[in-house]
Amino acid sequence: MARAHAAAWEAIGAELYFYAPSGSAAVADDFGGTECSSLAALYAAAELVDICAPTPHHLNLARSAVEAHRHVLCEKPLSRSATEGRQMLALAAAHRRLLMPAHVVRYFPQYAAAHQAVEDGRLGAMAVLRFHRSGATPQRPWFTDDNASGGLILDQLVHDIDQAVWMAGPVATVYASENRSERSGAQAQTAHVILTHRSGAVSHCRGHWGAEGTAFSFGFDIAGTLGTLTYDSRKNTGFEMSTTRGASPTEDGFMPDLGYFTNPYEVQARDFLQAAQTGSSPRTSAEEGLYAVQLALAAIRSVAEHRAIDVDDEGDHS
Amino acid sequence: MKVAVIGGGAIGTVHAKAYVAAGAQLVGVVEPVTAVGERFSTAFGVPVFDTLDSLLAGDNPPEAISICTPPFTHRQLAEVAMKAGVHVLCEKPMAHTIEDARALHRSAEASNVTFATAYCHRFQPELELIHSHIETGEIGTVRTFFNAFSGHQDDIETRWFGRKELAGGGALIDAGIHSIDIFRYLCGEVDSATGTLATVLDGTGLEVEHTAAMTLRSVTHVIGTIECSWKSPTGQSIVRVEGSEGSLTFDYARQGQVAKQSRSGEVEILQVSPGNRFEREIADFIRSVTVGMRPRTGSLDGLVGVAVLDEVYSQSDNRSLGSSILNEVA
Amino acid sequence: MTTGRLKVGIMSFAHPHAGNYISALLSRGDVDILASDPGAATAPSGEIRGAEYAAQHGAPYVDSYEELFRWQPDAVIVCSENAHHRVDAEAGARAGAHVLCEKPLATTVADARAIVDACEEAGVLLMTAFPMRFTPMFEAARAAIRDGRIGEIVGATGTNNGKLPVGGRSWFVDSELAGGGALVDLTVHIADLLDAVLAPEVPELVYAATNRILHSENSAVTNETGGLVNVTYSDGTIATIDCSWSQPDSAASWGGLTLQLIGTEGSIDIDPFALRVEGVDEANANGFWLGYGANNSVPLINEFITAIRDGRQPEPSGQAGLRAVEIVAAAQESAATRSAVSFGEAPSD
Repeated sequence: MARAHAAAWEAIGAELYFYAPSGSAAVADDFGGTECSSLAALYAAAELVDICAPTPHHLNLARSAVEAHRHVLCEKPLSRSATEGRQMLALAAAHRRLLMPAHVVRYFPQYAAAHQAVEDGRLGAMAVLRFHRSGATPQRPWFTDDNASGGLILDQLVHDIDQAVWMAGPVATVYASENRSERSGAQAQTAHVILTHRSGAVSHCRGHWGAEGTAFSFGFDIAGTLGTLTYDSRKNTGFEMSTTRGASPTEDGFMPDLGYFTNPYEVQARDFLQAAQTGSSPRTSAEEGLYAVQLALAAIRSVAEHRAIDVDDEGDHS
Repeated sequence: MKVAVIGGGAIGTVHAKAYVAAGAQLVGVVEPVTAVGERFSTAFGVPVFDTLDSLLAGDNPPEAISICTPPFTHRQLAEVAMKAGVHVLCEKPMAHTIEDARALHRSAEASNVTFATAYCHRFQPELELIHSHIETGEIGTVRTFFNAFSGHQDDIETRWFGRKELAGGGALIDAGIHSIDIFRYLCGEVDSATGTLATVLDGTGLEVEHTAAMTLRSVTHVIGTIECSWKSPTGQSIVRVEGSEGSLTFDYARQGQVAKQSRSGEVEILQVSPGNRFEREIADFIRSVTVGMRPRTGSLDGLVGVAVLDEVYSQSDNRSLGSSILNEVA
Repeated sequence: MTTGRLKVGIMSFAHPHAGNYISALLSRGDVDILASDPGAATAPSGEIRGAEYAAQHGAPYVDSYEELFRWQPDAVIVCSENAHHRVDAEAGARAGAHVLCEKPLATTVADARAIVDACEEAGVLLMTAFPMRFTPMFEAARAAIRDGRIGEIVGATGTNNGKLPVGGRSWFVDSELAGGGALVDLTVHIADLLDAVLAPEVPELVYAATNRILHSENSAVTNETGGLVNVTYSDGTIATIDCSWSQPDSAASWGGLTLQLIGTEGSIDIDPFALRVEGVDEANANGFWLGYGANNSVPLINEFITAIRDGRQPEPSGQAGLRAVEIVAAAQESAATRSAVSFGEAPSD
């Protein structure tokens, strides 16, 4: 994830500094940046901080960054727990720093176009929404460690939960089911989350971490009283090639193929930069990042308890 | 998985039983006190070793150990084990001093093996229920936390528990360290801590506190009030969290039940399948080791507990307002 | 084993599939048919029913079921409104006729079970008309799964989205006659496909969220128009069915059905209605489709007739129809109580 973010920062002309406890020389070299030997050195050198560390480290890193008076862009999910997320918001507020969760899907032009159409009322009132996302099971072990990442629901489905909220508003009820297959030795898991929004609209979010070789794909189908919108990354690619040389090795399956559209990580970086410099509101607020975490946690609880979870109204998250 | 227990006393026996329940293979106990070692050996059918080194050098070394000895021994034992590539589940407190805790945390971070701090209350099913209810907003924004762990332990002050240089403190480091971890689990990271200690018992001065009160504040300004005592004849073990929309209370005397009170005062009893926290803690540790997952509480959680107590102990040292105020008034 | 010509009676034209079945039967050349649609008398004006419909489709016609049964049919096909399936199927079974019943088998679990029992007691065969089972795409998916091409199934997403079905037959949106709204109309097809793929696994937990946001301005619509049904099966497989009348009235087609199956080693997406040429003309600014997929009624009718001739259970069976109704009933209960509904013991099988 750090590489996707670093490439975006490089593209918009930022001067890059890196820190990782295990060393960051390789990444720093690739992006012409400077490796820092400590967090303190990083904060001394950089004006803005982009946290790409595993989820359990978000709180402590965000704390030290805002204490060093740095604005923070933080990879999603904002935090492993709602309690940690609330602390991050409290710390950012106390130090008057920007805390922006990197819900990059909001910057994918397909989703942005759909959101604009919804906002413009072209589809009328939202009724039934479906979101899907598939990818290969991430290779770094912390992703598949529930204690660390929150698993498929908190790490992957949080994207589509956020989309459902972005399109159809706050949620009243969360239900989820999950299947982690331990059969045939192949690693594959899938989860379905059904959200009933306060407006009455219903959303289905389907996540999937598949075996090695699973292609990354995503899409949505949105139905409102005045019309529908559909997108599937496996279609509408604009470029298809067939070759007689057999199947070509694909990308790692964990990150999307950005195809021929504007790099969403770059748009996200610009939005963060502008918010940090001018005080404008970024596309995703810290509250919205926390809300997505809370809904994902409710989904995890629903899986554990085999029942629908009513989500308390904790103020306006729209 | 092959495991051994270091320290064959009360808590070591609890760990051993939980390992057996989890299907792990117990290969030995390290216990220098002959009578204690023999009792353990008879109960579990495993050989007794005088030292950790002799256990590790034997024909059947463990892949993981539980450290169940007094706190002043933890750092050295854990470091020896980790250096030998053996995974460690270390009883709380992680160490008897902040210096040892810091050093042990650094060793654990640098090591390739799993290091877990044994905060068994994180595995208490009723507290897990409270945690998930807080996480999903059932009681709104958390405001206050109350926890008491008090009971009557007759002669505890005469055992190693009562020796500052062996235990690091008294009732607070024994029980209050759990309270700190439960507070962090339910309310978030500790931002500030204060406390007061009772060290005089029936006219006798003890090395360590037998009773203490502690207040914690989280980053989000949740206020926690904690009472711990070894000398409370009636005693109570209770955790209560109050939020903007209601409260959740678990009384350890009512296993399997959490009382949820709404703003309107209505009380609902939430049922939980009771579970043995030690068995669940050991099962999580085994899972962490075998599939390479993070344990629920690692070395940092161990260090934070000791650091919070260090703060409380340093404030409380030799402080007595009473006489000076009385002198001024007089 | 039955040889010679078979006599097949068509009971009611309430469901427009009746015409497809008539042409599939006539094209075989080894069956005689006779149709009756007594409900035509009370059908809304403007809907083509009764003798006129029979004439259009080339079916001999009588006015009443009494006359139909005096003809002593070997089999009947029940195409009445969902709520009338039980009475009609029981009448057919009592008359000693094998029964092919339009989906859903019934509007309640009790009715569906009664139909299954009545046919068993009468010693006649019962088949539920789930035409999607006979699409070549589904057969290919089943074969691939059977051969282990995508490993073990872990999850599925099915969509059956259509326009509000008010055009030809208004009873579809009448909760009395249809037994409910979009949930009843659209869930069963995919529920049955999943049943076929996942057997012998059975549903254990059902959750449904529904709403009536689409077409809320239409006073004739009193039931849910949008819905999501989540089913957890006994082996842990999870599936969600989107059963919504979410196809806008102006769309190029009535709607469609898709099914995605995710396995441990791959996935399969089927879209049986993908076989089409798409066009736009002055009369259809939003486009129109020229479908060229096979008519699924032909293999469905062939299965029914062949099973009768061979004296074996046709598939999908009445039990399969009952299981689909059980899922719908659980989904309706879930939507009404806003909680997940446990199937408890495995459905009778």
